[in-house]
Amino acid sequence: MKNNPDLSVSVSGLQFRNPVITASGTFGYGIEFSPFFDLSLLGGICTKGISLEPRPGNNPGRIIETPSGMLNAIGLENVGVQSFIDDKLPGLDGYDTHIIANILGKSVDEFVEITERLNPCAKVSALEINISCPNVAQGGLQFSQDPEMAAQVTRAVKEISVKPVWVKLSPNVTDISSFARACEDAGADALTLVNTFVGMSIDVHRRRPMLSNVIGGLSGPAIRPLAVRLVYQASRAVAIPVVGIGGIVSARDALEFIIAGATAVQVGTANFIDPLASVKILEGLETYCREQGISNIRELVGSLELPGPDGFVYY
Amino acid sequence: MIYTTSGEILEHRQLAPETWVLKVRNAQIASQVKPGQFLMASIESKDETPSPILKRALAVYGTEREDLSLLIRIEGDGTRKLCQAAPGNNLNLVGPLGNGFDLERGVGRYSVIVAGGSGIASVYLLARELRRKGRDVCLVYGGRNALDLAGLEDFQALKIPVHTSTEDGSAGFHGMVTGALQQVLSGLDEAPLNIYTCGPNPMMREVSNIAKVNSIPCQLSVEIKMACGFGVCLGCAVKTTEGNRLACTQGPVFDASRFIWEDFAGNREERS
Repeated sequence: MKNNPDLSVSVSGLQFRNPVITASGTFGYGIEFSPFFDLSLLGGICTKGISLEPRPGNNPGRIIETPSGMLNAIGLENVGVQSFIDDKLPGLDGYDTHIIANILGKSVDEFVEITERLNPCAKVSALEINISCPNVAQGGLQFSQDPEMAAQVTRAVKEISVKPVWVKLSPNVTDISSFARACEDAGADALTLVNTFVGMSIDVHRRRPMLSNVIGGLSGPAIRPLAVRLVYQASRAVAIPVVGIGGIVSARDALEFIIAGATAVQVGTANFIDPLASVKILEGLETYCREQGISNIRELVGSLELPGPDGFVYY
Repeated sequence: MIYTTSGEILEHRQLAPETWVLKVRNAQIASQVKPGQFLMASIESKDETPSPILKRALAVYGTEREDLSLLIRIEGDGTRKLCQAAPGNNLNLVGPLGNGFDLERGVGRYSVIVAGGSGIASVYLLARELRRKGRDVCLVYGGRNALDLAGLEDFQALKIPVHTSTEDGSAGFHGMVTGALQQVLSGLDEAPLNIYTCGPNPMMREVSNIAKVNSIPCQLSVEIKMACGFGVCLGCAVKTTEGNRLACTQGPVFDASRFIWEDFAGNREERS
């Protein structure tokens, strides 16, 4: 193929130069990766979840590696929205990539206030509502467990936001489609799925939890098949774009999500394993398209070939 | 400058029943690493999903021109695979990382380095650099038994006084390294100007107490699990009097007087 494949995608009315976005909580405030590569190569950056006030996070004993994954209970440590605006965002000024601010709150009012504070920030392209952090008593988990509550916070943020609103859904639910539809009906411009799976690990010799928070969020390749299934189902339940995330460490993994129905993908835990992971995934996507004769990556979105009209229902 | 790089394993040598030293070629890190700094390492592999998936945080033990050495104690699958990685394999490396020891603070006549077990990996470059600066330094080094005292000859080659302790009495002082430290301190004419320490948390906690009681400034290098090593996973937070601090970018070396040990269990699985 002579020409470079077109990797650009459109999500929530924004044009992304490629579908590779780095995931919230795995990429700091972006600038931390500037020593490693040119951040403008990325489709976008989701920044560390920010709350109204700074949060110190949980006690030590925050992470533990598990088979093909890791559990974390960071506890939403972040600098707070004001420091994010004053100290962190300016560091990204020179980079031409979409910044998606991940926001979290204990109440609808808090989400609304953060949204108001971010409205004037030109550098922020979109908001990603984090309704699904499992690691603090009131991390917004209640919003992730009831489609009505998820819709309520989505509606409130959407009402006042001047930017597109994405909602990051929890996988720890029985029926993902009902959450996806509830958020779409409430005005969400895109859905990100999935956040981490709630998990736990025990030191059997001391009979103590490995994490100070006892439970944490599981990420990494271990959750990938679970996440692909959820993206597949959610993307068929809604018309808005789905951004797929869950254990992507290679271009092959990203393609699974795209073929399942994701318009873009987020790279998370892989950033810890290799600071250059997101760029390597991007290069891998380009190579795949070239080798497969695909001129436009959008052709691949939801291109899964099913054995029957509805696919297999039983497993 | 933090490098995302790789290095060939030139040599791996067993120093103690559970401790190995790997010699790795990487001129960038070897020429720039400072005492007390570390790197993140994994074995280069063609596997789509390597196991374990995360790199391991390892102190740079020594350097020699364009090579660096890593002294690794087997703690689990990741460190065992690293120890067993044969020469010819490559390591993926990110480093050098962390703040390292502050050699300029409390510059004075005498420094005492207190190491326990694999903590020895973090203090060889420190001892060598202090010697190079013409400063007096001694090592107090404890292990479970005589065989456990990996790297001892490297410190002896620096021609510094070395005081050992073993829990079973098979070498040096019979007891914990903190007992040996007390003995060393009581034998000195005047208080040393610095204590540097690295080892298991209960040991460093006790060393910090001894330093406090004797009004000796003490720097400790903390060992804690890290996913990234460069400040984004936020997994390696420790408590200090100034609030939570990241061991990777704001440590791993902390002023012992500011370190808060309460709640600091770490989360290494204890093996029987």
